[in-house]
Parts: sequence; C-alpha cells; structure tokens
Amino acid sequence: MSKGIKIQFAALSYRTKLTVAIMLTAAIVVALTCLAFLAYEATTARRAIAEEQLALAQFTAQNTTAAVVFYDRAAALENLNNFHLTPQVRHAAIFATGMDEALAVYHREGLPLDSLERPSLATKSKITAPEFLFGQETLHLTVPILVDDELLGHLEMEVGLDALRTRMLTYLGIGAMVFSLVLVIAFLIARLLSFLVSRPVERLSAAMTQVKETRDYSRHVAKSGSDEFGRLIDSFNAMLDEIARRDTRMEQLVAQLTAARDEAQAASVAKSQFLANMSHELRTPLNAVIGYTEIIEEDLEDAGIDSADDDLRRIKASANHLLSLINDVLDLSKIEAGRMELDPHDFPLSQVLDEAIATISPIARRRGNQVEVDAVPDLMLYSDSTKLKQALLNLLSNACKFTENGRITLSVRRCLKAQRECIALSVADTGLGMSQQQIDGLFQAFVQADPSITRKYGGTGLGLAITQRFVQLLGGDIEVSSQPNAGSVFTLRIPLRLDAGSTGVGSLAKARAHLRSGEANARPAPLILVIDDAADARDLLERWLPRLGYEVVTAASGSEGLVAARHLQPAAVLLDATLAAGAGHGLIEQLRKQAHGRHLPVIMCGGHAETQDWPATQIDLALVKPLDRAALGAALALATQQPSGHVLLVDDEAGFRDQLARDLRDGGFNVSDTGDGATALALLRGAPIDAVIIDLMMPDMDGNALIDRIEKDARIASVPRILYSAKTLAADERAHFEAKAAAVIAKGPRGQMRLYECLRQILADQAAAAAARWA
Amino acid sequence: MRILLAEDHPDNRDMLSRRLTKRGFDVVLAQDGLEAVAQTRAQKPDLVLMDWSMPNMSGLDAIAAIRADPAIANTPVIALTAHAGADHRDACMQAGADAFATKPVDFKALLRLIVDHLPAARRPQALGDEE
Repeated sequence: MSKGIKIQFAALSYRTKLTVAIMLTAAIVVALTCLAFLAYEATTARRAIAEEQLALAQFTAQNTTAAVVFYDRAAALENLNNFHLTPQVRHAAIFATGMDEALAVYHREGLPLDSLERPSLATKSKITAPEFLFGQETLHLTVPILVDDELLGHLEMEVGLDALRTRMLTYLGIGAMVFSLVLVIAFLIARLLSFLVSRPVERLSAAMTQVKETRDYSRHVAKSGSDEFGRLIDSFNAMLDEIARRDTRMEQLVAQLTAARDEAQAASVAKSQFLANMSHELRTPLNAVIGYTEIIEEDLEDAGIDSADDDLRRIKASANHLLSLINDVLDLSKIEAGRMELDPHDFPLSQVLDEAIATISPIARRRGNQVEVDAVPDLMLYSDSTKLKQALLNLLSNACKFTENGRITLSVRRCLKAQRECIALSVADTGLGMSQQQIDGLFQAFVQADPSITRKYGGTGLGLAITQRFVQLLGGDIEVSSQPNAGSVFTLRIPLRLDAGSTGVGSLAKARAHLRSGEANARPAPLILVIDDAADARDLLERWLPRLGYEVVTAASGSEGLVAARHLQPAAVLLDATLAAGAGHGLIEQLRKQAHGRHLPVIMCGGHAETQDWPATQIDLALVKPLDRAALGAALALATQQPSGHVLLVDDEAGFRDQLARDLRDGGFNVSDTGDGATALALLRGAPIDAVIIDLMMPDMDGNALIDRIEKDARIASVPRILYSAKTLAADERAHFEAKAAAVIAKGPRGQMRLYECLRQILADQAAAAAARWA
Repeated sequence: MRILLAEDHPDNRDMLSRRLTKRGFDVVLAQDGLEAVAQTRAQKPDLVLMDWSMPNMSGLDAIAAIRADPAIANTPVIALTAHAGADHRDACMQAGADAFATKPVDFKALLRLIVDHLPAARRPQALGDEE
C-alpha cells in the first residue's frame, strides 16, 4: 500500500511534487499553531472561570454566616436567590455542620433538580478551604462557612460551562477558517513558486525529448538563469555540441570509408575483369595448340605410327596443364569473389598421389631431384580430388623449382584437427629454404618471396595463394617451416570427409545460379529434383521438364539426392521406385527432412507393382514407367500447385506453334492456337481467355497490329498479352512493346522457360484477384 | 551434311575445319558475323558453329540475326567461346543458341553436340561411333 503511494508520488511531475511539499509544510505549521492556541486558551479560560465563581461563592458564603449561625432558612434562601443574576450558576445549597438537610437550596429555573437537594456533604464536615472540581459539563464548588476559624457549615454550588464551550467552539471555527485560508494561499504561492522553479526543468526535459525524437543535435536550450539549472542547461548544450561534432566527424569517416570501399570494390571488379579477359586471350591460342596436336596425333594414327609418341604427349600434357593453370587464375578470382565451386566425391587417396607423382617426376628429374614417397595408407576420401591434386601439385612443383640435385619427400599420415579425422600431406625438400620474412608474405596472391625469383624461376606467384585457398575450401589448413639453405617443409591437412554444409557445394551452387534468371513479373519456375540411377531416365527428364516449364536437377543416388535437396530446396522430387526400394524407406523421410519444415512432395516413378507396394502415406503421387509426358506434367502441376488457365497462342509458323502448344498442354494449360490475327480476335471474343501469346512477325496482321486491335476492343482489352518473338528488338522497340504487353520474351530454350514463368505469374495474379473479389 | 564454321582466328578456323572435313562434313567458312549470316542465307547449312567474339558483327548478334530471318531461323546454332563463365553460357542461350561449347574445344564433345543438334532425318549414322 505505502509502496503504491510512493510509486504514485514518484510518478508525479516535478511541479506537482513541489506544490504538494509546500502545501503540506504550510498545513502542518498552521494546524500545530491552531492546536497550541486552542489548548492554551482552554486552560486559561477554565482557570478564569474557576477563580471568578470561587470569588462569587466565597462572597455569598460570608454573607450567609449570620443565617447559618441562627439557622435562619429565610435569610439563607434570600442570599442564595441572588444567584439568579449570574446565569451560569445552576444550583446552589447551604449546609450547616451537623445537619443532614440543606439549610437553603437554589435551583435555576428550567433546569432539572440534582443531587444538591439532598445533604451530600454530611461527610465533608472537615472542610476548611474552598475547593472546586471540573465535571463533564459543570464546575462544582464547595466553600466553607467560617466564624473565627470555626467551621459552621458550607456552601455548595454548581456552575454550567456552556459559555466556555461556546467560546472554544468559536475559536475552533476561526482556527478552521484560518487553516483553510492558509491552505488556499499556500497553494497559490506553491503554484507560482513551483512554476518559477520547475519551468527550466520542464523546458530542459522537453528539449531532451525532442532531441531524442528528432536526433537533431544542433538544437540548443535557452538558458534562464545562472543557478543550478542554468549550469545544467549549459552542460546539456555542451553535450549536444559534442554529439553534433562527433556526428559530423562520423559522417565524414563513413563517407571516407564508403569511398575507400567503393574504390576497393572497383579495383576488385577490375581485377576480376582483367583475369577473365586474360583467360579468354590465353584460351584462343591454346585451342589451336591442342587442336593441331590432336590432328597430328590422328594423322600418325592413320599412318599406323604409334601415337604414344612422347614429344607429342608432352605437348598435349603441357597444353592441358596450361589450360588448368588458366582455369586456376579464374578460380582464384572466383575464390576471392566467394564464388568457388566444389565437387565433392569419394575417391582413393592413392589415386591422387599417384597422379601427382606421375606428373611431377619428369620435372623433378630435369633438375636432378629425387622424389621419394613414404608408405601411403590405403584411405578413401570424400572431398574434391581435383582441388586436392592441384594443391599437392603446386607444393611439389614449388619444391622442384627451388631445389636442385636434391631430394623431395612426400609423406602421408593421419591426424586429428578440431576433433575431425584428417590426413596430413607433407612435402619436404632440401632446397633454398626461406627466411621468416619471406614466409610471412608467402600465401599472398601475386607475391613472390623476392621479385628476382620470378625472373630466375618463373611462375605467376599465384601457386601458393591458390593452394592455400583450395585447402581452406576443403576445410583444411596449410603450414610451412623453413630456414634459409636448409630446405622447406609444407604440410597441408584436410579432413577425410568434407563437410559440404560448411564450405558450400559448388556444382550445385552452379545449378542454383542458373535458376536466378527470372525477372520481377515472373513466377520462378519450380525446381524438380530427379533421383534416378538410370542415366537414360535422367536424360529424358532433363529434356522433358524444361519444356514443361520446370527447372531440373538430377541425382544418380540417394545420397547425392539428399545433398541436392538440402542445398537447392527443390519444389518436388521425382524418385525412381527401384532406387528408393534399394535405399530403404528412410530415404523419403530424410529427403523431407531437408525441406526445413516445408512439405516436400515426392512423386514415385516405377512399374505398377513397385509403386503400388509403396506405403501411400509416404508418397504424394505415383507415375507408371514408361512415363507419359502429359501425365508427368499434370502430376508436377498438382504437386507444385501451379495455376492453370486458357491460353491462346498466335504464331504463323505451324511447326513451331504445334510444338509449343503441345508443350504448354502437357505443362498443364488449356491451349487454343491459330496462325493469323483475325482468327485470334474471333477466338478472344468467343471464349474467356486468360492470356494470349503473340508472335511479332506474321503475315497480314502482325503482332503489333494484333495487340493494337485487342487494345481497342473494350471486351478483350484486359486480356494480358505476352510478346514471344525471335526478332531482336532495339531498345526503343522493346520499351514500346513492354508498355503494351505483360511481358516481352525472346524465343529460345530459356525463352520458353520465361514464357512459363510469366504465364504462371499472370494466372496466379488473376486467381488472387478473383479470390479477393469473392472474399 | 553442311556445317558453317564462323571463326575469325585463322589457326582455329583452319584446325576445326580440317577436323570436321575429315569426319565427312561439308564445311563452309565465315570470318565474321556478317559473313556468317550471309553464308547461312546463301548456303543453307544444316548447322552453324558460331564463335562469340568476331569483328564487324559478334557471334551473339549473328545468332540473333539468324533467328530473326524466318528463312533460316530454324538452323541449329552451337556457340563457341573462350569465355568460361556460366553468365556467358546464359547470354548465348538468351541470344538463341541451341548449345554452347568452351574453348579449348573438346573435339569429341563437340561432335556429340553437333550430332545431337542436327535435324534427326539428316543425322549421319556413322557419327554415332565417335563416342
């Protein structure tokens, strides 16, 4: 409770708090003052009354002495009757010592009789001095009647205190009035004072709020005085200045950094462009070198000469090596742009080592070097053999380059790195060796230990940089230890099994990039994952699916399929029943697990018996092999929820038109087709058509004229148009048609996919609009 | 079987034409894109091998020009280029090429592409043995 009040008080504004404090102080002061005054007044008034009445009683007692001595009741009563002049006296009585009854009794008229009638002071015979006693509403007085110090009797008197009460009540009323008045005045003063005191605080607070909301640090708060608040405002303004200064500096810094980044990016783009151009320029003559070598090879073969001619083979091998180097230059630019692709697969380690040694041996021999290989463990790796071989060859050829008449040792051992099983491949030479300074710059692209080395030993300086990047891509690392003139040891460590997720599987990334060709007004073609171990079945589907408007990626095994499903997130899977049966029921479950909670439709393809045996709960649809293209199209449209509708195809080229109409029908559309514009207009007016595909170059009425006619006919003007033409459009032509048609697509294999994408987007939009109308 | 080979680099033109001729193709040559389009119109080849970068008119423009002429628009075109990127492949396909091969050319693979893209009726049986 008290906590609640505390919180409420804390929540009050500063101004209200001040007002409350001032008023509370004033109220307490006034209340205490009033109470003290009332208490003092009450005490003083009572004493005054007591003394006054006592004097009256004593005076009356003295006058009554004679009446008491002679027991003269009449005289005593006459004396008592004088009390009617003092209205406070309510009752009075005179008693003589030794008498039970009162000598005389006085009662004020209109008042009830009380105990004085009876002899109440019989026991008070010893009374010698006047006494008084305050009761609830009365003052009781007793006065002795003495003659020469002998007690003859006494006078009792009861006085009403009405006057005193009235007086006290009046005082109380005045006190209350003063209290109220003081409170009102205190409130007004408090209001005024708190306004004066709190105004700067409120202004500061408002300024802070505004700064917080607008983030405008250039604002200042006007100073109102030089007291604490004034200093506070000074500090606040100084703080704002500092923030504004920092903001400006930060903006300048960000601008500088942005400029630097842009420059760096531009340089990087220029470098990539340079590398791509260089690759192109080198490939052209290389094409001739390899081609002519093959011609000579064929000629020799035709002439019956053994084509295994060493010289010719070396030319070819060198040309191929050169080609792979060119590819590596491109690779390096790709790695640096983060676009490197990996192709992981299972292979024996010995295969890579054998190939590398076979390649390097002739080079080593030429420089009088001896190549030794330590015992190679019989190991299977799951990694990218091309990249591993390239990395190893780079190390070996480096060793050969810097060693003369020495020994190059390749050793292999298994090891653990970050709790993963790895192999460590070490290439040790007895050559020049390096200083620490040379080692430091070793793995930077385009840097050789010493510029003179390039002249003496050749090379591009890319080798170790590529090697290191490759090894990193394979999830490994590379180390070097060397001393001048004491040879070098390069050790690369890579995991036995490449974790595809951590490095990005490249061959699949390529497929992904291929998919990103769609434009804004197109519904991207769904990707279908085909898992079939039969190559001819995969080939067939690879040709069919794009014609039906689906991107396709194939996998020859369940494990390949799982990797593809994880990285490419296909819209549906076409799964061969025989393969699925071989892989077990877990395959479908695992495939679905790759879909990240989304339902992944699985369409099983196989013989009648195979597909029927499969639990219906595991698969979405079943197709019987040999596949029927229309049934396949219908199943895919159902599984990936493609919109459908009535499409009119207008193209004068009958063969092309028939082919496309067949494709579109199998792809799930209702298709009408015609070769001339007039029939097209009639068809459009005759039946509800959702979209029309128009060729540009047609006799009689060309595409442009047909579009104009459609636009002018209010009944059909709203039918979306897709211009699908082989004509290369100039920029202004293109803009012209883009304004008139929903899409402008160039004929071709990719064009047909675009056509599907645009059609589906149009139909999906129409369906959504229709749904919104009915909603 | 007539193949038009459009290639500006003399050695590469000579090399490829010799190898194709040896396989029994009737090879027609063109040195640039303009000549390629003109020869396609004049000679009606069964298939066109089109280099990407050529003077006067690039291979891409030549492909588009072939596709734009109804008389020859159906001629299969295989684009050849020393550019190796996936974006170049896409550009060729967008321009209307039926297939794409990277230089240096893997001759056997090229033959296979040629056989695949020849009109079925004219496909020589003997070439199937190349593989």
